[in-house]
Amino acid sequence: MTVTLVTLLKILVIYGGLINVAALMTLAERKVSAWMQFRIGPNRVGPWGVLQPLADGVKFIFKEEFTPEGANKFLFRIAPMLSAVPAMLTVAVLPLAGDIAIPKLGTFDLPFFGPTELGGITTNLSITDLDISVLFVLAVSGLSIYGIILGGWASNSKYSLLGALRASAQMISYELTLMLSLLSIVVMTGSLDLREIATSQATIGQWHIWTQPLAFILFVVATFAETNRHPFDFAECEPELVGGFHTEYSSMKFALFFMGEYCAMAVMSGLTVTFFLGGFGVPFWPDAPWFVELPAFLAKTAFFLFLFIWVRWTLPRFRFDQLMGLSWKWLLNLALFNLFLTGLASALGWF
Amino acid sequence: MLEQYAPILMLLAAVMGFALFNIGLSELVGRRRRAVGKEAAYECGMGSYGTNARLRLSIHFYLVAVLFILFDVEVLLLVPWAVAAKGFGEAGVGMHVFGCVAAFLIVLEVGLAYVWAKGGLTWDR
Amino acid sequence: MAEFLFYALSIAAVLFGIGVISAKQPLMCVLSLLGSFVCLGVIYLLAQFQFMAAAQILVYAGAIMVLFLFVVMLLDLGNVEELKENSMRILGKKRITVAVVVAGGLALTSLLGTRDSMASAGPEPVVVRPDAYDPVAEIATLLFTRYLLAFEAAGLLLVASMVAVMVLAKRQREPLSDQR
Repeated sequence: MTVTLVTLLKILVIYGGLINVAALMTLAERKVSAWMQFRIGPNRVGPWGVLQPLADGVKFIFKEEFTPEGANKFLFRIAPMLSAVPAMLTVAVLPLAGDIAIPKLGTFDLPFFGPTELGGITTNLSITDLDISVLFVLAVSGLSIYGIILGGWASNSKYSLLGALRASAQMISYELTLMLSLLSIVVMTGSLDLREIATSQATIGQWHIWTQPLAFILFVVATFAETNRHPFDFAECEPELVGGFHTEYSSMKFALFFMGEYCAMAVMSGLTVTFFLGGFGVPFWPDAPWFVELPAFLAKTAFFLFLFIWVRWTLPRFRFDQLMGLSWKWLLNLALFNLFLTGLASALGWF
Repeated sequence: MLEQYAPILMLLAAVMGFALFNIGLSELVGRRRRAVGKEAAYECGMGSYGTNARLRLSIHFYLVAVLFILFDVEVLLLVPWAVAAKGFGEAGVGMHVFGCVAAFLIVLEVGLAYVWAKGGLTWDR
Repeated sequence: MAEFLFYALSIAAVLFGIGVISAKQPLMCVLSLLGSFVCLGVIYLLAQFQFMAAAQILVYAGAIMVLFLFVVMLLDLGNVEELKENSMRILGKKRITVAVVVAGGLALTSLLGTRDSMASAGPEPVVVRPDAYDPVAEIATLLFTRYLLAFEAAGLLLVASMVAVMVLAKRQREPLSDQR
């Protein structure tokens, strides 16, 4: 009983937190871009405009919704869901902190269950821990491609279709780099469990950013492409494709595509931290309690979220053939080479 | 082992609920006004050209998808090795197994080089 | 619970399968197949094959179905017969025969490699991580001892497919070059 309640609580906190991070990211994006261009950014709704995402949400709900002529109505409706659900589902295996001991809370008389003893267990701050969580993340995040491809196709608009095709070709190309760079981490840790990967980097010197610098760079580049972010945002590059795959979407359906994208960014940043920056580990404090580990994890993740925005307002956009060439000609070969070297080092017993 | 996946099922329910609730709410309360041309597919202010946007497109997308499958399978075949590489090293067969993996990798790298040389990785159209 | 899920998913997988052959639009066929694959993946999970479940979703649902979607979206599926004749004419009988022989031979080697009579010729499996039972590591020990031949043949088969797809894609592009 306690376990179920704790799981529900964790889902509420972590998933709710993820949604809030995604909402705040839309604000952060506007604020940071404003600062970078000597503007002020949203400042009317609440102090520093912090309530802006809420106002946007209300506005999205009341916006008119329409389906373009000749669109496949069923697919047009479910595509935003197909895009958002996998992105949000991957947060399930992200380890946010170490053990939390819940003290015995006593016996409670619950409706339907009768007197139940609550508390007295030790749990982890992650919704669940799988033996193969690395594969889970890869498999589930790979499914989010369907939302984009079907949304673009169902709209019956040329911009949407082209945007969707470009986005999906790009996502599958960079997924290979993503997987191969992760494999070298798996070779070093010998586990597919994210929590084990995080805890194996106990001290700052063991962080995989030092032992696997090439994999780190490849992974970060691939996450930018996987989440369709600048400089790889070919799904929605305004000068060429208007809005890309969501040109025809409005109101909450449009918002769901965006929520999915920002959630994917948050989870990818969390994964980068877990794989390369010691996860929830606190530098120079090996046995930190969970309420220190959680802020440490969030701070590291926040840096990568900031990086997403920073890069967007700094770099120019690629051209599509350059993007595909970069992935297949350079990143894939580099990732294979890195895996080869890591395997050799492992066989020689260097770690 | 299956109980590890129960929270994922619960999260899935929560996520689906969130998505359905939002879409449903906006469909219910969002206002609707019909107008001529409003529902036409967007095309830079002009009338839509042709009735259907489902065009035939470059063969290159097909090529990319097939290459992705092939390398996806390759990565998946390497996953068990990656997990067990340390264990193989400790069991004293690390070099032997790495030789097998290296052969596998080199064969695939040759394949990739072939595709590259044939212009399969160059997006020219 | 697990039993109920198994039956529910099996029925869903079969219904999706019926959808594949009965749907009118090609795209809906592809989506039904995707649903069927996802159901199958979860059934693997119920049978405690975590790695297989992940592989099923990753390769079938994540990669092969994307290809199918692309093909359905890229091709005008009206004239399949003409397409077949065209590709026969462009490729030529000789090339097709060679391709079939090479691919068939490799596939056969890969299959035979999984047979016990061939497989037992390899070195004995070693136990990796004796302290903790790890199914994925178990797969690895079998892959690199007993089924080594199948593993390497699979690599060659992947390269053969690369060559094949290059031949197909490059051949088809030339007649299209004067269009746009």
